[in-house]
Amino acid sequence: MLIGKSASFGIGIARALVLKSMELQIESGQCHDQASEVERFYKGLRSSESELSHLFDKTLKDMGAEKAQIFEAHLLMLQDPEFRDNVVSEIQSKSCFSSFAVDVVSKRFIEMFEAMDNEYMRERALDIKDISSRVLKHILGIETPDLSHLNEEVILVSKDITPSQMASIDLNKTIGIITEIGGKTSHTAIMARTLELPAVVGLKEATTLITSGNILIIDGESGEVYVNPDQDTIRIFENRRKEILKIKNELLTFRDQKAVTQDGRRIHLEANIASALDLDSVLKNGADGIGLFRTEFIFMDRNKAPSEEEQFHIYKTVLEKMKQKPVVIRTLDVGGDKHLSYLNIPKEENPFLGFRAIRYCLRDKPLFKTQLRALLRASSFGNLSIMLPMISSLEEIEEAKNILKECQAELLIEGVSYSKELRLGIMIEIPSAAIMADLFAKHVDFFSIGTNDLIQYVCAVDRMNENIHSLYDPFHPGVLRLIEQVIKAGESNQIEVAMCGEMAANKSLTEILLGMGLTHFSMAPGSIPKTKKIIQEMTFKMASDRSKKVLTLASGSIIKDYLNSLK
Amino acid sequence: MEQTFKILNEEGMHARPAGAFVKVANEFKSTVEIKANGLTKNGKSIMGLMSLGLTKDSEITVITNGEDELEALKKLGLLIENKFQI
Repeated sequence: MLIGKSASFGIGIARALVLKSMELQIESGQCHDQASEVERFYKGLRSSESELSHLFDKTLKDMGAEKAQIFEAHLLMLQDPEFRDNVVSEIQSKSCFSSFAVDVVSKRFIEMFEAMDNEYMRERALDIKDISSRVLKHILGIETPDLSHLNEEVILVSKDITPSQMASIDLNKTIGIITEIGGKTSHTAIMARTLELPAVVGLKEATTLITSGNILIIDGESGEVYVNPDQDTIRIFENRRKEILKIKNELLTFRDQKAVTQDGRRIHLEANIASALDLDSVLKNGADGIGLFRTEFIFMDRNKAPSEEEQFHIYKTVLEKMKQKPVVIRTLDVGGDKHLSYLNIPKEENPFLGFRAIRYCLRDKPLFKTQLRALLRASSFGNLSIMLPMISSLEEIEEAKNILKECQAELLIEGVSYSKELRLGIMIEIPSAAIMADLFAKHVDFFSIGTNDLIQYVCAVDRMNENIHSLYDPFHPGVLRLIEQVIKAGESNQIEVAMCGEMAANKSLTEILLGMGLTHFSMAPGSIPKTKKIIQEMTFKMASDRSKKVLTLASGSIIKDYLNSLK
Repeated sequence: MEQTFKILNEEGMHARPAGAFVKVANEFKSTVEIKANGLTKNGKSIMGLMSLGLTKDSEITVITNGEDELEALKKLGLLIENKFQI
């Protein structure tokens, strides 16, 4: 099994079509006639231009204006006077062949972009490579494989798939995409997500390790690629693929419907996300909002914390894309199993009981303020709620509120606007906060129950310890009773109670949680349609009777048996 | 003629804004140059513009030279102030 970076979800099973990177034979040495080399270059440019205009039209039709823009930019780059003049003067001053001149000049531009200290700009180097190889192919008269008419289903494997190749591929026959280079924000990745094609990028040496004709399984979610897998593996993935497809189809019917029980109780189904890149999936699955945006991923895989400006852009993008739907953004939750090298968190004996999340943020005030300021500034662009993780005491709520007020005062002086409707809530994931929910409710605008940690703390079970794994039980009556208390505490104080842990998407528990009075469920976007369907089939009346019954039962297994007997 | 402006759009000089700038610059006969961070680039070159790595709040000087330099400077200035929306 090979592992690359997950770029676009979905499972694909098909034979590999390996695109060996075309060896462009650059002509070295001296040319005989400079004028005819210049003419050759211009001819190459003209054919490239007409090819790109076609691609622009096809993309506009298949994928819309936003995606087509890239080819408009490519056209402008082709027409770029600096590029042209440099190539021509290269031919004239060195008497070299036109292919050599194009290669040298493109490399100069590529180097310049690759050296820039901005991921977006670095990835533009790929655009220049794309243009340069297009022009070179025309100059050298090389036929490119026609990806727009394939005979059988394939998974494309290539060093890199250029935006132009991506736009030209036969969508009926292309099952997935694997590339050696590129990241989550490369055009390949972005376009694959738009096209809903499973894609794995950054899989080193893929074109060497995989041969055309190999049977491949690609899992765009885990980034895994299986080469010539056995029948059992194929069967497992085939079933998962069908399952995903089934959900996708259900989705079409449920996207525009609301989650309402038979007797009219409206439930809000929201999405958990970790990046602005997840938004397409959120919108596609018909989420009522974002119930949890985990910001720690913005802070990972880098040498220093993201700036206020960088964070502001990300939060603003999310808020704008969600229009006026509610978006709950959780402040940095590091520590525990999420380590950041540039933060001052020492190695600990018990990281889950240690210096993490809000506990760390309240101590590293500049870091916390940077995030809060970015959030406040972004709040003008949508419907924002800020959520604090790992709250265990009232003092922490008050301290965080004071820092937030400090940031608001600063922005006011700087003349920067922020939303006055901003809501502040807390995660309920530590037992002491759950027990105190009735009093904490008077100090915040909402609760969101984080079940993953809550269960581990209530049952005193390390989730990662295999020996006691079975004791980690979402059905444990202790867990369920505590959750019910939190919901009731929210209800009697008229604040919203949501749940954003994995339990929220647990089909067996949806009815019980709903019956306890939970109104907001937040989960992976892909789980929303399924949950919506379940909710539309139940009544609040029966759900609440059943949840009352569950709360009288004495063990997790008895509760499970009871729930199974209802099916 | 020259005038200094501040980049106002959030993404800075990405491909789209640079493309818009070049399109407008090409409408004029005058030469257009951009000076920023101590470098001078051809304002009709998308790659030149992008390579300046301009972000929001960067200051740039637009220099136009030729028969229609005034109109060019006006229209380009307006474009920058309108966050590159044509």
